[in-house]
Amino acid sequence: MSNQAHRAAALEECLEALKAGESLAACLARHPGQTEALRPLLATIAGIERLGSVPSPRPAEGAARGRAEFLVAVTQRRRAQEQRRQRRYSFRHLFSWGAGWATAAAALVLVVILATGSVAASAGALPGDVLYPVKRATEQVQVFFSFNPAARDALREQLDERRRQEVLQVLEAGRIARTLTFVGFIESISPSLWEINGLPVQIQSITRVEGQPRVGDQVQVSATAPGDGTLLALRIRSLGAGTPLRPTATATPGPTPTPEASATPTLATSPGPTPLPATPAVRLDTPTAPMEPTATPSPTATHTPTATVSPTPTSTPTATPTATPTWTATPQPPTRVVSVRFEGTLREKVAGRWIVGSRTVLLPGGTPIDETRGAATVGAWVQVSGVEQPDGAIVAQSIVVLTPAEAPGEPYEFTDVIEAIGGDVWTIGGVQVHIAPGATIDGATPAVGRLAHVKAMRRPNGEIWATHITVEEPGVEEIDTATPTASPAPSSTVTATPVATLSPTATAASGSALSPSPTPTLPPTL
Amino acid sequence: MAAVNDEAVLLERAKAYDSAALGLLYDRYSGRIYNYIYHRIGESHLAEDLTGQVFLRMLEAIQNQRAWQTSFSGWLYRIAHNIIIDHYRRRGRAQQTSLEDTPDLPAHEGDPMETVAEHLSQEQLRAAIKRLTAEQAQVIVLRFLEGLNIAEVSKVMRKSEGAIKALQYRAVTSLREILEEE
Repeated sequence: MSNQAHRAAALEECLEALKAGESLAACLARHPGQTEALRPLLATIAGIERLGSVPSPRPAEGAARGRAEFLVAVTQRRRAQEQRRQRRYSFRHLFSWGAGWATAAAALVLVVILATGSVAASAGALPGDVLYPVKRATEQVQVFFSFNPAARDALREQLDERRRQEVLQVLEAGRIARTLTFVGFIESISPSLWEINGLPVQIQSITRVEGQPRVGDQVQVSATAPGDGTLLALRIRSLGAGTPLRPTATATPGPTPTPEASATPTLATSPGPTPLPATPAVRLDTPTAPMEPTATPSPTATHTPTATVSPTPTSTPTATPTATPTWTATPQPPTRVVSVRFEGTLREKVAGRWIVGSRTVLLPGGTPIDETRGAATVGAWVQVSGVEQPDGAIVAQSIVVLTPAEAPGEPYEFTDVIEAIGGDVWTIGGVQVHIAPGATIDGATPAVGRLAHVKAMRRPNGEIWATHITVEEPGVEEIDTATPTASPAPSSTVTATPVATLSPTATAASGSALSPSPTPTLPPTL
Repeated sequence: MAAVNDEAVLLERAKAYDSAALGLLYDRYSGRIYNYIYHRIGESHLAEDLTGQVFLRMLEAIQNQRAWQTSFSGWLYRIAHNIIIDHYRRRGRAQQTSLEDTPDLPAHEGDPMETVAEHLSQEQLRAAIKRLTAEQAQVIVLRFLEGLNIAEVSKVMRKSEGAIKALQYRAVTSLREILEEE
């Protein structure tokens, strides 16, 4: 062995000895001829290791960004691969038709595109599509040429609804969208998931929340869709406490307003009726302008009108803390009918008046309700077609129950090995377990092969919906998934730290919620 | 054994673009890979980007049936090492390390051994590591910053344990000389 090889072996031997707790002197004493060479090297190593023990400055934001970008890149690759596969198939298919058919088909496509025009073609475009900017530009032109303020407001609201529908389509199609922006009302808030107009918005460490939004508040959301059906919030900006996009006047002025009258309208500032102050007042952005309510009499108005008639048209602006509507309209009846169709959760059901999502839906007698897929009970997901009123309420023309309200089912509890974790559906002991919204998971980080205690509800259709899962700490018992014949003895429930809340769309790997340890230890297999 | 099975299952799912499995793998290993790259490069943003590249290359490899042999994390370290080398090649070696870039060690009296051990900073160490050969830098980071033992490093670098000990000796000697030059 050469001298250098001797020193190399001695260095390693000393390193191991020092790690085992031996003193430097004792180690060097075993290598008397190498002491002078080894001492400085061991000191250098000690200096390096000291720096190595300092945690690396990995910003959580950077880590979350890196993770999201990785998953987006993966999805893009998958798409590209699928498209390549489809193109290959199409190419072969095209040539199997023969050149004549191919030419005819190409000509037909060209004619169709030219005939319909890019504007029409853009109507169904979604964020990320080539024609999507054309669609948005077309909408801006529409808004610009809506001279009637009431109609313009209605159009804007319609466009807001369209944005939300686009987000839904993007999610359902599993498409990637770098930025999705929409406005909506908060329907529920949990640490990792907010529901905004029925859209599940995942809150991450990098999500910037501006203001202090609460349930019922209107917010503007900027989010990204990585392509796995989830919506990751980047920024949520509060637009005010339950303030609709435009004032929703639900009061009916008693005396019919005349051009000479100036009225102080009563406003409801939340989707539901709100008790009004004794002297309702509105802060006007243009206080000197004649103000007239744009509301039309509503058959279900619940508030006492407080219009003041004055011989000279003046307004009496006083401030309210929440409502800041801008009313510059002169009283004009709606000149056009705005038909709307939207979906949402049926939240409240009073005779003739429903709340669907955050909107009030009026049901005139005889409104057809399609209950083929389930009863129209509170909690059901329904589609409403109707006509929007100037006050924002929808007079329903038809209602379809798309998904019935969740049946509670019966309690179901079991303990078994996690065999697969796939988003909101896990396989535990051969049983498909749906992760219910708001379900809690505690104990160890969920992983295939670990033991899980499941508390769930078995629905009438047989589906198991977990409300609580406790994952057994690793190391208590190693479960080999290749041979899941082991019958682990139930152990005591792990204490609920850390607790993770899973959303219906959350995946087991969706961030730190399920990964309490950002720097996992080296597995023993290395 | 369970961990191996777990990884095998996860990789099988990852191969089919299962985002949950890919996310789990990323969560499990990205911290260590990030640390390794960060210690070699010293730029947080860049380390994060290169960490993502490691996992994308891992995905490509498993889809092309080129998976790891013995240790999954060791395989990831190797991919990370190759990506760092590629990165340096792209940037150009001259741009990477120059004597001017190396922070000066403060002058201290006494035993130079103590000086090195007590006054070494992260930046100085990184600058010195950059002046080592790629293999020497790899062994220093894996062995003393990532805490792998000789057997583990030998798997990552696909060398015998004896070769790793010799490489480690040369690396530490060179590093010491570089630090003493300052």
